Amino acid sequence: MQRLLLDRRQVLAGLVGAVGAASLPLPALSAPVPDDLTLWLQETVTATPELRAPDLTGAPADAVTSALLKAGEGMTRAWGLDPFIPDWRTAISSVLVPAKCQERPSYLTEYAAIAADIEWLATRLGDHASAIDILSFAVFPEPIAAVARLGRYRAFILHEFARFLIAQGGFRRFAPLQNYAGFMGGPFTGPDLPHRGLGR
Amino acid sequence: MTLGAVAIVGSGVAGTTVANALLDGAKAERVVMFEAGPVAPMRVWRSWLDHVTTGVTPYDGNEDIPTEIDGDPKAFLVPGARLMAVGGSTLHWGGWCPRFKPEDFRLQSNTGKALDWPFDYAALAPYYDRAEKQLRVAGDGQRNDPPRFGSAFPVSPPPFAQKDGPILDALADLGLENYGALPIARNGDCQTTGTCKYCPVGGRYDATMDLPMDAPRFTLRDRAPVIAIEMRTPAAAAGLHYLDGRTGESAFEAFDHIFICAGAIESAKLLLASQNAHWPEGLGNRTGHVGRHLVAHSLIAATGATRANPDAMEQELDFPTLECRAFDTPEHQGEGKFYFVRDDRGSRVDLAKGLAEGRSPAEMAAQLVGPMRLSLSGFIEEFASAENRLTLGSGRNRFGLPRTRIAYRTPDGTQAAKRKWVAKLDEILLAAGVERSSLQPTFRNPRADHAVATCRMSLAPADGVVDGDCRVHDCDNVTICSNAVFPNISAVNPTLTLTALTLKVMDGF
Repeated sequence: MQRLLLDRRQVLAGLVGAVGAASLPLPALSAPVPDDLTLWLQETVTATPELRAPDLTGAPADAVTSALLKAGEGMTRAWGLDPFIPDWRTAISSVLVPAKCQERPSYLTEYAAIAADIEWLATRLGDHASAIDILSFAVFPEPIAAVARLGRYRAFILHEFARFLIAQGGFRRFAPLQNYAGFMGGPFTGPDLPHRGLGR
Repeated sequence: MTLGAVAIVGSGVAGTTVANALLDGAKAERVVMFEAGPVAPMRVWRSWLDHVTTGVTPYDGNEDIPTEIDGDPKAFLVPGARLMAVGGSTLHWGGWCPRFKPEDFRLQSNTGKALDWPFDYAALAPYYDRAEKQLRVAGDGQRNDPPRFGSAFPVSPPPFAQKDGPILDALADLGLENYGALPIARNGDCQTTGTCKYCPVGGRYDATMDLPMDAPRFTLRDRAPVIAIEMRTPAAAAGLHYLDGRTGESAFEAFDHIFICAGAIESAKLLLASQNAHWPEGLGNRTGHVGRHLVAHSLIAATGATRANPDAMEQELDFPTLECRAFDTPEHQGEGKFYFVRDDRGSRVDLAKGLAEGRSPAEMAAQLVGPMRLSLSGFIEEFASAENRLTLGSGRNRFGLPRTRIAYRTPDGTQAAKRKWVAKLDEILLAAGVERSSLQPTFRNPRADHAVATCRMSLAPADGVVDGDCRVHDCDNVTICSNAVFPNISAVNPTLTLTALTLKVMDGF
């Protein structure tokens, strides 16, 4: 087991070295967003920044999970995380999203509204990738309000998924790190250190 | 002797230790614990996910807020220092567990300042052993200053991080002594999640782990701030008045003995609020010491950066792994001893935030191999003054407790010590390879995390508030198990010593 772990770490370190900082791609950049879409994205959709219906718990519809996975796909692709968290789809669809929906404060209604926005934009633009690129990476001169359609997506999907994906192992994309906030590095009392030690 | 009903005010590590000692030793027929704050769910998977993805914890909102503290908020910081919730401040503590040193129990004899403790280090040493086991402290039992008399830690220490290397080399090059693994309350369950403020698996001790919730003779009353102790005679408490936070109604309940385990601020305030014909200035306050001698650590830090960090060295753990007690010695006691750690935690680069805000992966990778920040921070022993004190403010705070008024001025000697010790930290950082132009000092006034001495122990009633068994002088049935009884703060974190002291008190109870 120890040998396997070491091999995995060496492989991951090698991948980091192979891509190298200089050759890391930039996130997908969108073309200028049309004015009518900007208005739609900046439209106020909630009264407060808090979650919509935090007490309404339940399992999300498959279509909702599917739309959220499209968002995760756009992020992992833009940030080059796939090789480092090959099971990210399961982590989002079977861990993060159910946990956030089935217990209070529930994201069930929030996720459903955001998923509907993703689908509407994908229909308008012709594909999900373009929709996620705009929602995640488009830059707007005006500040994005927390109660706006885009503000909801960026708070509850972009920022939270980013933290989750990095914690799931995505941090290894950027340096030969062995541990990071939110990652279960393992016990420090065992033979395999959860962090890079002195090595002397 | 088995008492009838016993009250415990406060649900942190001291209160929990008292409760278990009473129940395990069959010393009370009924134990009722009062906590002003609510229950905060701990070790809950969903709450941990929220902490990872948003940074929030279930106990957010249970800290002091600035408007509830009267006095100069910068002179003595309270907000952020403690928690009003079941488990007390152990819910958010760092878990650092160094022992006090023998000279800390003899401050007056050695320097003329404050008071000696009524007992010495050797008397507390066996209880330090038990406290380390109770808090599941990971540490290096081979180090023997302060003396361990052969005792081992219950958990082996977290191995040094790669980033400790430059500082370890610098300490050796400078000929400094007594440095090594920081004793820390991280047990064998620790999965090094990097989220110590909210641990999903109980890898960092908090008092809720040991609360005897299933014991039939134990009752926990949360959201129940205790307002005052009522006396039956000058030397005997009859019981206490508290508020039911759910109904807003006040109530009285009779007890045979009362343990006050409410920290240095609330313990003193409860005595001050317990004014009656027998104790017109407040329980235990005939000689005016209650609330006085307030003292805590001044914190200093020095930070610098090396030119580059080609290996992307990061701490990779959410707790420090290296401490140094080279200046925590009898030789330095008169000027203010100094204890420090290499205080990087987690990663200095927030990858997710950077990416979500539009920075490219290349930018984030470049940040990790850019200049490497090294930081050393520590505590200076500050000396108590009778003029530094807390009193009751007017009105009540959100939890139903009296507001707090604090008058505090850092002694002049501490200012000189701050400059001296920052210069010493700079010297170590330079030896570790940081650029001189990058050095940045931080000076912070005392904060209530380590507040002590507001109900200090003394042999004679004229000099303090409680005796060597932590009973209020001239009162038979009120005991204070709190940092409040420490006569001085030493240079290190007080929680392990508080736990040891509480175990000692309960052995003699």
